[in-house]
Amino acid sequence: MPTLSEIRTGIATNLGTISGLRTSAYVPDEPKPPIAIIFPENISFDTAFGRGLDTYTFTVQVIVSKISDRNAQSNLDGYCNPSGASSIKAALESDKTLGGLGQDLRVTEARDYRAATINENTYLTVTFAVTVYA
Amino acid sequence: MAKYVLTDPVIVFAGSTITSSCASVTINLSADDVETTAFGAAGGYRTRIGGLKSGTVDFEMHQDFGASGIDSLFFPNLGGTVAVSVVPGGTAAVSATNPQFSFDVLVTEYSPVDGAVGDLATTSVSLPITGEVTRGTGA
Repeated sequence: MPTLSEIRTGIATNLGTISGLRTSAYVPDEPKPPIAIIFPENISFDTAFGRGLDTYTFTVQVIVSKISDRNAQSNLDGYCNPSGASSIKAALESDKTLGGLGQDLRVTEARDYRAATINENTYLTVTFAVTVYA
Repeated sequence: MAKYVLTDPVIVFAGSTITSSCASVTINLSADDVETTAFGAAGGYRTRIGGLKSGTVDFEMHQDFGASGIDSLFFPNLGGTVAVSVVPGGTAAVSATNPQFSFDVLVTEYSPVDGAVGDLATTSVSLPITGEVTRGTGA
């Protein structure tokens, strides 16, 4: 079965297909937008007998610069689209096995579209919920 | 064997181990209740004896249409009789304290698709046992 680190890296690899978006499997000290950061949220072990399946939930936080409100929102909107070149959902689900690591993957929602202050800078962020069956 | 948490039973269906695709297994065994109450029963109470035995086995499974997945075992066997064995205690050698329950089932139902949008694809069956149930102890 895959390790947590392998799954995080697999998610980052899928996100890396979006042009211009930095990805980080781990939380960076100083995020440089636009960036998608992967946070493990929950692991449900033993959803099948014999270590047959674990269910992981991750959040992917996308951070964009807020130099211009309109441009920032436009960029974030693109990441929230259900399909298209900038779509987080489409990129993550482009390889639902994460290179053969898991069984399936689904992006279930985008939430908390809002401004956030990080290291005294204000950004726009949105958070995606990702379920991985592995 | 002490009390234990059920995480690793060995479940074999039609010759294939389906353990890692199962989320739940239940073997239900019962005996018919045959009443023998006669006039003058002591204290006015009914009396009974055990009749014919029967059973069912229930599986909750994660659906898989792979070459040797769940669908490949259930779809072709619908309407047929299939051998099943369950070792609740896991992969340790079958023994008096790690028994193996073996029996045949009649595959009377199968739902290839059973779920709503966004759900993990699962399928559940409740199959009647045909014939005797043996409790193997490796002896």
